[in-house]
Parts: sequence; structure tokens; C-alpha cells
Amino acid sequence: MKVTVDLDLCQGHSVCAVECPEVFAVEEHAGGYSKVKLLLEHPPDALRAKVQAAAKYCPNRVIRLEG
Amino acid sequence: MTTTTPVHRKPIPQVSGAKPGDGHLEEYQANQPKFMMRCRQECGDIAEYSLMGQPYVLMSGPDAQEAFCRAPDEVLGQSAAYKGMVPVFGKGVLFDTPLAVLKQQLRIQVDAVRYQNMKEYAAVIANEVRDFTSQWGDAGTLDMVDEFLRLTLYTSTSCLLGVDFRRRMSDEFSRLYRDLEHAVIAIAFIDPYLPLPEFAARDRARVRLGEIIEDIVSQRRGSGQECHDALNTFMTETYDDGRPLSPHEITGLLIATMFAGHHTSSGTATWTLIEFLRHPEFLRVVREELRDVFKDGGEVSQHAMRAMPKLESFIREVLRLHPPLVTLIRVVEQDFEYKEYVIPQGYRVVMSPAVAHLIPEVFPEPRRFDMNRPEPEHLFGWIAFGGGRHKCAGNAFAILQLKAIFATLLRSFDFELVDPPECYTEDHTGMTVKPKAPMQVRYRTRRFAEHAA
Repeated sequence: MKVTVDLDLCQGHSVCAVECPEVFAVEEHAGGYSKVKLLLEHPPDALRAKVQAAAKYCPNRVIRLEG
Repeated sequence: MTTTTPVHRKPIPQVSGAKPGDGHLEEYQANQPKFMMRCRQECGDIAEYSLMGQPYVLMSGPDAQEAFCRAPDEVLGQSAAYKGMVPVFGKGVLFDTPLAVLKQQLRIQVDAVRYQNMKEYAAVIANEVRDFTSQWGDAGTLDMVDEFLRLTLYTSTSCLLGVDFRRRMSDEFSRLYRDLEHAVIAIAFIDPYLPLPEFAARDRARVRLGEIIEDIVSQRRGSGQECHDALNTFMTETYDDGRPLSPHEITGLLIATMFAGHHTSSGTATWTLIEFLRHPEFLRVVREELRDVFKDGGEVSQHAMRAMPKLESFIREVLRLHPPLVTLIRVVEQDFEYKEYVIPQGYRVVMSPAVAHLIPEVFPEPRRFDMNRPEPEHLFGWIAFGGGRHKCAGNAFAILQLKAIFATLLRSFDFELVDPPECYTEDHTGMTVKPKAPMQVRYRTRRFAEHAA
């Protein structure tokens, strides 16, 4: 499983960091919105459901999953 | 920017019917969504029209919408398009600041509706709905346009300024807010400082609101109480250099947040109820979902709200057919290239949810209301909240609020339309599109036995 994030779309709502803190954190970004930081680009399969929830409930559809 | 024009560049298609001087103003004012639709039908994804000498380009279709949404602020700027709002929000707030400050204020504004705050909001909203409807009695007839305007003023005040403030909220506060609203008229976007009575009332109201909010801020700072509302976020967050917002900026951001969410949410709530009553088959499906979610008597919590896909699909379909904003406007700060077109600096570009949501290639049979429609494959096909960099920061809050309102209302009341379904229409005459008041609806309390059914 590979996770990508589209930072153009991220406003730092932080849903992902609550749904799956193992993979997503939200950090302050100088001069604009806080943004998601990907902690694991290839998370283990055990986290699949949580990553899927993060992607699904992200209000801005920032997160994509492959594989 | 390039100095030579490549041969493949195409001229921007022009919308017919421009009159000398005013351009398309008359047709635009008569019915904005209809005019916008004609622009697309006549010219396609890129269509140039003019209003009083100012050239505009409508960008429609998912690819053009994506280009609009992803353009950096340095190329497509927001500020010049919003100058009518400056005296409402206040000097030095949002669109009256340099881009670097604007971005930081927007960051602080988003933080007020982050997940952490939203946890508190779901229950706050549900309580407001219960208090509000407790005054309805068992049965009656109401104009839902007015009811939802009041209800959403209460819910947004509770979430922004806290439940304590909301409980003590005076008529004065509503009146001041109304004075600000009444100054958001077309002429304000040309010159917001003309000697008009509306503008004088606006300026008095802005000063007084500042005093009221500064009072709350100093009370809170004095008491050290911990609150989970937008005001708390605005009081505690800082600019990148560590400086806190001034009381004037706090007031400005609160007003801006309230303006962004109030009419948009109340209009959508009204349309949600009307569409439920027009489509009883969908209402039944959503009621079943509510029954399952709350079968153990669960609270209207954020967690419960997030797992209501049917209600959410219904609301998204309402927003597709009744997007609260007809157009979003940007000022072209540097020549803007899109495919084989160049839109020159000084133009304004426009994206229109009203047009985007009726494109048959994206939404087959676009005028049919269908909550089971699949989401369009293209992320920028459905743009009720805009998209990209400046997507409505309150989008998740808005959906949560609508879910909390209807999860509470539909379990407590049955509703029916008073007038024939087709009589409920949009009002396009103002600055924003609204449900045309009154929208009469009959209600009665659901008896206990019906809750189970």
C-alpha cells in the first residue's frame, strides 16, 4: 500500500491525524495553512482500514491510496 | 511571461449580446445562473463576457475548474474581488492585508473548524436545535426560510463565541449583525465608502460589535476559563512570528467566519428540508439510516455524524442543485495560461458551481434530483465549496452542522409542504442566491410509536 497526499488541497483540517496518527501528522507551515505530513509512505497492511478512513473522511480529499 | 505569442494560442471565445458601456450587465442581473449557463453553452469551457467595461472569463468544465482552483494566489488573487467586505470585517483583516498576512489569518480561521473543535460542535448544534424546536409546540405551519436563518444564527454564535455568550445573546447583537448584512450590496463592491445610510449603519455596527467582542475577550482572559470555540482559537493562535491577533482582528475574523457560514448554511438547510418533502422515497432511506445510527439512543456526536453516508449523499445532492454561491471570482494578477488560452492580467476569472453542477457529461440528467448519484470521477466536478487552495474552510463544519440539524429534526418531527412542490424556488435578485421566502411547511411532533417505525 502506497499513500500520497496532494498538498495543494490540504488546509490542515487534521481529520487524518485523528483517524490514523501512525501515518499522518499535521504541522504548521510558515506562511499559510497547516499541512499534513506523511509519516509512513508505505504503511503496513494492518493499518489499511485506518488509512482508508483517513482518506475517506478527509474533507478536502487530499489523500490517495494505491495498492 | 513570454514576450512572443506562440502560434497555437487561441482567442478567448466571446459571449454574444454585449451592449455598449454596460456589456452583459442587464442579462447578468436579471438571472445570474441562467446567464452563466448561456456563456458555457455558447462558448464552451472558456467564455468572455463583460460587466460595465470589466472583462470576465467564465471557466467551466472540470479541467478548467481545476486550473482555477489550483492557481497560486500570485496569479489569481482574491482580495480585489472582495473589497466590499473590507469595512464589514474591518481594516487590516483578511482581504485588506498583504498576501503573506492574509494566508496566516486564513490558517487561523481554518484552525477554528479543525477536528478538535468540531468534537464539541456536534453536541452544541444538536442542543440548539432542541431548544429552538421546543418553542414550536406539537404542530403548526412555519416559513422555514426564516426559521433556518434564526436557527443557524444561534448555532453559529454558539460555536463561534461559545455557549455562554449565546445564552446571554441580546437582541442588540442580532440587530448589529443585521446592520452589517444590509450593507453587503452590489454598490459596496464598487465603492464601499459612499455616503449611504446602509454604510453609516454598518460602520456604527462594526464599532459596537468590536466593543462587545473585546469585552468577552477580556472577561475570558481574566477568568482563565477554557473554551472550545472559534473565539478561543482566535485568542490563542498566533502569526508565524508569535504575535497574537489584536482584538480588532479577532472581531474581524469572527464576523468573517459568521458571514461565510450563515446564509449559506441556512439556505442549504431550507433546501434540504424541501427536497426531502419532494422526495419521500429518499426521506424514507435517510430515516432508516438515522434509526440505525441512533438505535441505542446514542448522542448526536461527531463520531455518529461521520458515519451517515445516506444523509451526507442527500445533502451533497442538495448542494449540487442549490449551490449557495453562483460564482466565485478572482482577479488575474499575472497573465494566466490555460491550455491554449492566455487570460490577460486585469481580467477577472469566474468559476460557477451553478454551471459546473449542471454539465451533463459530469452529471447525467443534471436537473434530476438523485441522492444515489455516484460522485463524479473528477475531483473538481462537484464544487459546492469551491476547491483547491481556497476551498471553503468551513466545508466539514457545514456538513456536520446540516447532519446534526437533520438528525435531530427528522427524529422529532414529521413535515409536509403547504404549497405545490414546484412553488418552492430560488431568489436570484440579491447578491447571493437564496430560497425565495416564504417557504411554508407544516410540522407535527412524531409520536413515540413512530420513532420505531
